[in-house]
Formats: sequence, C-alpha cells, structure tokens
Amino acid sequence: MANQDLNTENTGANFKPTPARDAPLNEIGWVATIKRNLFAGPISWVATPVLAFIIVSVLTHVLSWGFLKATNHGASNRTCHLAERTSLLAKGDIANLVAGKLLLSKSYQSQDERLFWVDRQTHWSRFAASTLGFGASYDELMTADILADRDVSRALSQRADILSTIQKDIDFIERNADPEAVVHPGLAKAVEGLDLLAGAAALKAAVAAMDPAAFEAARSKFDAMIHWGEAHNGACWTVVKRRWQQFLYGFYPADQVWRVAVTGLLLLMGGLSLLWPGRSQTSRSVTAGAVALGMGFAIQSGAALSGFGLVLAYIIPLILALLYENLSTGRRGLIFFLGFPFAATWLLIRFSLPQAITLVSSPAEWILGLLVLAIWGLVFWQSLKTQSASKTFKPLTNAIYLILGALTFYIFLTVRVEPSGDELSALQNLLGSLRLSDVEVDNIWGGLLATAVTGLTGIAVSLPLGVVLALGRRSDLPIVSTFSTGFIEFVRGVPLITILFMASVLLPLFLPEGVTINKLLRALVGVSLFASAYMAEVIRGGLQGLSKGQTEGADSLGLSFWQTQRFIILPQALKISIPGIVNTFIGLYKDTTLLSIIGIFDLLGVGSRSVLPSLEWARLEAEVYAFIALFFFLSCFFMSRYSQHLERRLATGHDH
Amino acid sequence: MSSEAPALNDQEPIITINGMNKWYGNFHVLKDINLSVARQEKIVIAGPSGSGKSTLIRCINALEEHQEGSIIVDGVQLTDNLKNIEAIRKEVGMVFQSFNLFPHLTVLENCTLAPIWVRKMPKKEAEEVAMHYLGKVRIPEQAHKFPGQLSGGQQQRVAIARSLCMRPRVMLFDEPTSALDPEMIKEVLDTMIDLANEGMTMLVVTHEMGFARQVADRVIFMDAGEIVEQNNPEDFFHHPQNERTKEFLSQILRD
Repeated sequence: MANQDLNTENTGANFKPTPARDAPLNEIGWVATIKRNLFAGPISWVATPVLAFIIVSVLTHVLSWGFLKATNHGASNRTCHLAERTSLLAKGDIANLVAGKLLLSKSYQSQDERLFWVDRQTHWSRFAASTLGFGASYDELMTADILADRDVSRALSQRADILSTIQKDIDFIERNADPEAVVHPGLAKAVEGLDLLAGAAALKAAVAAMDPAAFEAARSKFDAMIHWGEAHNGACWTVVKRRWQQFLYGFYPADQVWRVAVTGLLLLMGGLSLLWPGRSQTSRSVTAGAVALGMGFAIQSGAALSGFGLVLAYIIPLILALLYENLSTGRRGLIFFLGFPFAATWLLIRFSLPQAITLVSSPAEWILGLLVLAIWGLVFWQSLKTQSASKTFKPLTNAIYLILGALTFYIFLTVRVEPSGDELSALQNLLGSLRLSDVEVDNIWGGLLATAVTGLTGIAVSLPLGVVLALGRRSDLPIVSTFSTGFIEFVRGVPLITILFMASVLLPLFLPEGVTINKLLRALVGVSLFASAYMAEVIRGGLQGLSKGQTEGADSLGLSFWQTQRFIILPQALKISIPGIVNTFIGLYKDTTLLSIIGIFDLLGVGSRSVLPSLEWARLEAEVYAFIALFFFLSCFFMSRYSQHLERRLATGHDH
Repeated sequence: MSSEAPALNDQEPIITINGMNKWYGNFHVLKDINLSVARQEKIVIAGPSGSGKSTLIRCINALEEHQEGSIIVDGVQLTDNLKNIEAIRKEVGMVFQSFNLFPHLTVLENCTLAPIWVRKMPKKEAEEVAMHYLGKVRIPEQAHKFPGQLSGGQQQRVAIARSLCMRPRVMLFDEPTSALDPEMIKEVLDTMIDLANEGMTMLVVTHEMGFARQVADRVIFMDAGEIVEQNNPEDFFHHPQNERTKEFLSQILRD
C-alpha cells in the first residue's frame, strides 16, 4: 500500500493540485465591498455622504418637478396656471401675512417687537414677489413688488382675488368647446360644490375686518383645492404636447407631415437592420411588414388614395421591405446608403425634374412611357426566368429592377399628368393623386427634421470623407497629402460658427446671379466639411495604431492598394477609432444647434425662437429647454451605448 | 493539387538576381547581389543580424525597392510597374517573423481573402482550398477561430497556409521561428519540412541550422550586405572557406 502511494507520487501520473480554499469572508462580503469602495479613508468618509446628499437632493427636486408634480393636462396653459395660483393660497404663506398685518396694527407693542414683525413681513412680501414672479402676469409681479413696500393688505386681498381668477379660469375652460380643454379631474373634484366667488368675498371680508380666525375659516374650505394645486405645481409639459408637431417638423405643411413620417420609418427600418445585423429572418420580416403597413396608412391618410392606388401604397412598400430584409447585410447597406438619400429627398422635397420632361404632355409620351414599361417588364421577366432556371435568387438584381421600374413608372406616367384640361380620366386622377407636391426647405423645415437631417447627413458624409482625408494625409503623393493636410488644418482652425456664417452669407456672393442654394443645404455642406476634418484626424489616429506588418502581409498576398485598405487596414483602423468616431459624431450632432444662429429653426431654434416668444408659453423656459436637453441627451446616450456594444461585438480576442 | 509541381522540363531558374544594389538613404544595405534560384531549390540564408538577409528576400517580392540591378521572378522583370509587382506577388508567398495575420478575420477568412480577390476564385472553391492547406499544416479545426485565440506556433502555421492558398511558385520565409516559444518552433519547422519534401521552391532566412542541414540544397552566408559564401550544407558546415563564415558558425554552433 505504502509502496503504491510512493509510486503514484513519484510518477506524477495522479498529480492532485492543492484544493482551492474560499476567500476570507471579511474580504468579499457586501460589508467589505461597501467599506472598501465607499468608506475607505478620511476623504471618502467625507465625500461619500456629501456627494450622496447632493445626488439625492438634486434627483428629488428634478423628479418632483419633472414627474411627480408635472402636468400635461389640457390643451392650453390654463391647468398649469391654475395649479400655480391655487398653490399660492397655501396655509403658511397667508397665515404669516395675516399675522404680520395684525401685529403691525397693534399700537401697544414694543419698538423691538414692531421691528421684528416689519422684518418678517418684508421677508414674506419678498417671498411672495418671487413666487408670483415665477408664474405671474406683469400686473401680479408689480403687485408683489409693491408688497415689498409693506402693503400687506394688498397682498391679502390679492390672494382673495386669486380665487376669483381661478373661478374665471375654470369657467373659461368649461365654456370652451375644445374637447381637450376640460378641467383637470382632480381640480374638478376639489372645487365640486364650492362657490369660489363667495369664498373670495368671505376672504376679503375677513381681511377687511382684520379677523384671522375668519380668514382661516374661509380659507380652509379650499384646502382640497390648494392641495391639488401644490401637487400639480411642477413642470408644465402641456407646452411640449401642444407644440409637438412643431418640435418634430418645424413648419412643414401639416397635411404633408406624413411624408416626413414615412421617411423616418424608412430610416428606422433601414438603419435598425444595419445596426443590429444578426437578427432572425422572421423577426426582420415582421418588422418589414409592420413598416410597410405603417407606410400604407401614412400614404393613405396623406394622399386620400382609393382602390388601385391604395393597393399600390400597401403592396409596393411591402415587397420592397421584404426584398430588402432578405438581402445580406452588405447588400442592404449598399442599397440603403445609395437609395435612402434619394428616397428621402424625393419624399421630403420632391425632385424638380427638368422642365423639358415635366411640361411635355401628349399621348405620344404616354405611349412611350408604356413602351418603356413593357420593355422593362419583359427584361425583368427574363431575368426572373433565368434565376429560377439556375435556382440562384439574386435579390440585388431584382431590387435594382424594381427600383428602375418604379422610376420609369414615376417619370413617364405620373409626371405626365399635368392638368392639361378639364377632362382627366379616372386613371389620370389616380396617378395625379400619387404625385407629391413641392415643399420648400428654407423657413419651412425645422425642429427634429432639421436637426436629424443635418446630424445624419453630417455623420454619413463625414465618415467616408474623413477616411479619404486621412488616407490622403498619409499618402506618398505630395500634392494629395498637402491638400489633405491643408484642408484639415484650415477647417480645424476655424470655429464652426464662422464656417456657417461663411456658408450662409459669403457663399451666395460667389455664386453667379440667379443661382441660389437653399440655406439648409449650405449649412449641411458646412457642417459636413467641418466634421470630416475632425473625423480625418480621429481615423488617422486609428491608422497609425496598426503595425506596418498588416500592410506587408496584404502586399505579400498580392492585394492591391485599395483592396488592402478596404479589407485589411480600414476595418481595423475604424474599429480602433470607434470611441473617437462616436465622440466626433456626438459633437457634430450637438453642434447642429448652431444652425439656429444662421436662421434655421432646428430643435433648439423652434424652442427658443418660436415656442418661447409666444404669449401663451412665454415663461416656460425650464420646460422647453429641459425637453430639448433630454432629447439630445437620449440620442447621444444611445450613440455612446451603441458604440460600446459595437466594440464588444467586434472584439476578436487579443488583437495586437 | 497539380499546380504545386512546376513543369520539370522548365530548366531556367525561377529567380534571377543580377548585380542588385540597395541603399537606405546613403547606407549601402545590399552590395552587388547575384543569385539564381532553380525550381524546387531550397535555400537557407544565414548571417549575423543587420547583414541584409531579410532585406534581400523582401526585395524579391518588392516589399523593399532596389535601386540598381535586376530581379526576374518566373520570367517577370521586377520594375516600378505596379502590374509587374502584383503579378510577382501572386506567385511569391511570404511568411513573416511576426506572422502578420489579419486579426479581424477568422483563420478561414485570412486564407480565402487573397484567392477570392486576387485570383478571382469563387468563394466556395477558395474555402475548399483553404481547408485543404489548413489540413496540411494540421490545424483544420481552428478554421473558424480568430488569430488572437491561437498560440504563436498555430498562428505561424496559419500564416504558412494563408500563403499556400495563393498556390505560389516560391515561398519566402523571413525568420519564421524567431518570435516563437521554444516548444512551438518544432511544429512550424515540421510544417516547413513537409512543404520542402513536396517540392516547393523555398528561400528561408533562419538561425535554425538543424533545419538547414536537413532541408537545404544550398546555404548562403551573408555579412555586411554581401553574399560571402554559398555552398551545399555538408561543405558549408564542415568546410567553411571564408574567415567570417567560420567565425559565424563557431558562434552559432557553440552548443
């Protein structure tokens, strides 16, 4: 037995590692974690509670203002005003004012007491002035200022007047036929059976009689109402609800807004399936179907189609969507990036076709159009036949055929239907209804539409342009590298605002007379060029992170320069640069708010130059800017998270 | 794979280098190199570091430019003409000290990329060829991994397979085992010996003298940018002629 043990030890064949022990408990439990991370030393003993207090109090305020006490009720600012006014009747505020007033009038009090109460009263008047100032009219604000001059009784009667104002507001809402303009259910319940005007009279009488008990009695009837007011005196999101369309589309004609929505859906469909390529066919098809249906509804509601047109509006997008979703990721990307810009421009503006094409309208043109369509059909049919014969389905070819067909149809048949007389056939009417009207860009586009168009164009242009500039700067050809370097250094050395001003003010001076480029397009060019310079440097950083061996490896296999860049260098360089690229994207996206300086109503411009200057929403800066900030934060946070996801997805073990 | 075996009746050398000179700036790296490599010949190039042996073989597939003299590979003159360079690189495979695999592509994609895009081979066929050569270097099971997940020796064998997938007529090896841990050197050398036994023309820069003895038809000793001595391994190792060769061998074969 002993011999056997000795043998196994010696040969090592049955080598047993020492069993692992558990880590000591006081090093791994949650108490240890808290101690190590939150209370490690004197600095963290101070910093942790202080920072925790700051975080909690800020969060509490924000949550209470933005969510718990917020209201978006109704279609006007009245509910918000009501909440603000009723909360002004709160107990402490009035009780103090009454007490001050009463004590002031007592002649027997000592000088010290008197001064103390004058002080208190002034304090409360100032407080009243500041609260009123937050949500008061100009008159109310002036009243509050006078209050600070110790006219306390005016303050009291004003609080009584508030009741009358509330009654007026409620009356106004009830008189209004707008179904959205109903009294907030909470308030309606609180004032049920109350006579506000009688209450106001009672309050006034109590003030006149200097009777605090009577005042309290009169006021206490409105406790429920005041409570409602305090519970709803937060953010007034009604402004976002009311101006939603403007925030989204700017001043895009309301009956054409569906075109923006369809473009957005197309972008979502194309974009999402590219951002997350590995999803299952089924779920993609469901997405495609849903998108197609959505488009169908949108087109239907926008253009009032019927019969054949409705079928087209449903079937064509559905077929295209399904075809698209069944392509490989690479082909989808190709089609998306080549097709979407045109589709979007057509949907959002409509291409103005050359005069020669649009104006000529004769039976001969119709026949020509039909002929072209017939030839297209024949060729497509042949292609489908060969495909089925060789059992190789070519989605890309088919998609191109379908797009060509749609274009033919559009150019030769729908455009033909200029109203050339009173006699339009039913078919002509139908085709005419498929036509989109022109939409101006300047001063019409705005809000999220302008922001997204600028941001996405900037992103889509700056990446490839940045790649070209980065490769150019590293090129062996002196002219190419000098040009790239010069461009990058110049653009990076100039503030974006300068470039935007140059684009909007100087550029038109250099253009021949009669040629105009719309303001947004000029800004787009400016923003894209600006971002590409930054992008180029970010990508150059990535290129320099690669070892020379990668190029040599590719060269030794006989790959050409462009093949090497495309398959070997750029995929790796771009992957390394993802954090920097997304950083530039985010910067560019937020820089689009500078558009409002050159007179384009982007999301921020709509808020600051269209919504806030209106009488109704004038004092809601906090709400409007908070909404815009939240929107930007969410989009940028999405980009940042997506980039991290992308980095994880592209990780392939230890790379270098 | 019939294309591996070149036509035997073709007697002219596959590589001819005539009076080649190369400078880095003013530094004369390669001096009057004359070298002719017969088909299926295995040449090992040895020499102290900085002697220009890597530069020499890197000139053959134009990773480095030479300033004087001519290099003719399989009848194609190496000039500044990009078409000639690409034509030569198609026929000349190279294995590097640092592998130079493409870390963002799987092993299989590393092997199929060049055949698909340079040889215009259909993807399916390229994959079959790649699996064939991955089998030859004995790592077909790693085909779908990324290079970063493999050991150094495995990576170098993938690099060899990647070059072979282009079905080159000549293989250049630039210190293929210098970056490897000792226990991985053997697996790479074994692969190279297999390759040599199948009749591949090989130019190998290496310090593995055992490999030179076993495989080489000719050993070339370089020093200070010159070919100092060349001979068959037997005579090279046992009867070196030149003093510098003797000194080098005494250092490298000390143990």
